[in-house]
Amino acid sequence: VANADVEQLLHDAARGDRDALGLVVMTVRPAVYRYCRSRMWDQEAAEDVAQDVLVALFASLPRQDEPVRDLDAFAITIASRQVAAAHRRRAAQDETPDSELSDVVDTAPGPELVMDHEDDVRRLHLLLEHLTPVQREVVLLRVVNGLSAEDTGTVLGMTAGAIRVMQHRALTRLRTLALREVAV
Amino acid sequence: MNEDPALDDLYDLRDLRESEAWLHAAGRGALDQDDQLGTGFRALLRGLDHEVALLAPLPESVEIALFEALSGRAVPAGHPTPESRPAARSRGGRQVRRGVLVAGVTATLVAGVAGVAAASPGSWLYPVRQTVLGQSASATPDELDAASHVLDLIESDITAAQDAGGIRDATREDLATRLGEIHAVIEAGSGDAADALRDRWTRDDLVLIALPRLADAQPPAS
Repeated sequence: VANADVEQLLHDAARGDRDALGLVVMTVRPAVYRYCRSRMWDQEAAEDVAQDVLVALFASLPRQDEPVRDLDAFAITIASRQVAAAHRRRAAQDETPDSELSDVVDTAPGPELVMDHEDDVRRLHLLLEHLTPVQREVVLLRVVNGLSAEDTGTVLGMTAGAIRVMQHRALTRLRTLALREVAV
Repeated sequence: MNEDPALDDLYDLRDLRESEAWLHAAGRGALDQDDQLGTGFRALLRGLDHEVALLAPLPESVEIALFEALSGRAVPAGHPTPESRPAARSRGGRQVRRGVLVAGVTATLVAGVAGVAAASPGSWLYPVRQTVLGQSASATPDELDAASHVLDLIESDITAAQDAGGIRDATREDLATRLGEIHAVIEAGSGDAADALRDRWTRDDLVLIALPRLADAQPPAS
């Protein structure tokens, strides 16, 4: 669905049109889920956070001064905050005694994961762990979400040129590490 | 960016383009089969595609929450709104930042003139030096491209420093010198592109000044 059509669909959805709401959700949900899931090992937790992102996105869209140029990039900006908040809650949970545990999102790995069974994915995540957080974010946004350097810059508050420098450094590091892994 | 092959060598633009092409191919799952990193990324994308295809419809409670959010009846905290944008900052804050900027510009200009004057043929800075100290009164598009690329590198380094929680003295000095080196070129430019570069230069300079100092004993940000 084109961005211009999204504007109209949002207008219709705001008036209670379920079909319009469904179409917008169908447009943006995959990108949001992919973002959350590639940063959270628990599939259920990723789905929950993705739903929170959609609610925050839908609350935010009518309040923008101008139409949002790229809905995916805008949604991912919101998703990045929600995922960070989920990780903070998880960290706080880890420091809380069992008796005081509340209803917080569980981002710990679960046995049912599809991706956890893939050795290649696990190996990739181990490599990505060697990057700085921003480098890792750049690579995942480019590859997993397919964002352009420009949109990645929008999400991270950087220029496209700086993103290209950073992604080049990240790839160089990943290749060096992969070569070392092969040598071992 | 610059299309001059000679300058490409100086600024590693071909490497950057190669990485850009690799990421573009990786995002489409179109990497070579023998690509060392391709296997992992392909598996990751395959797993995500699989899970996206199996996503259940949203629960009715979430659907209701979406309708309410759209109609403005529920506004969760922490999402972007016009009020939270930088444009809404106070005038007093802008004046303080302008004061910091003047101090920063003065410091980097001093360092910059020294850096430009010292540039010799073979240095990436040489074309910049020619513009600043030679006969050319205004910056050419190629020189602005070169300055833009230097800003890309500086911005990337600044982001890495922010990532690391601070910056070492030597790194700060190096970045300030590089900012100073390109300042005269950027100031000599005209048009929207030069205006945009001046905005970037100012922002990078302010952020660099504001970065907390990192003890030398700590490992450098890579």
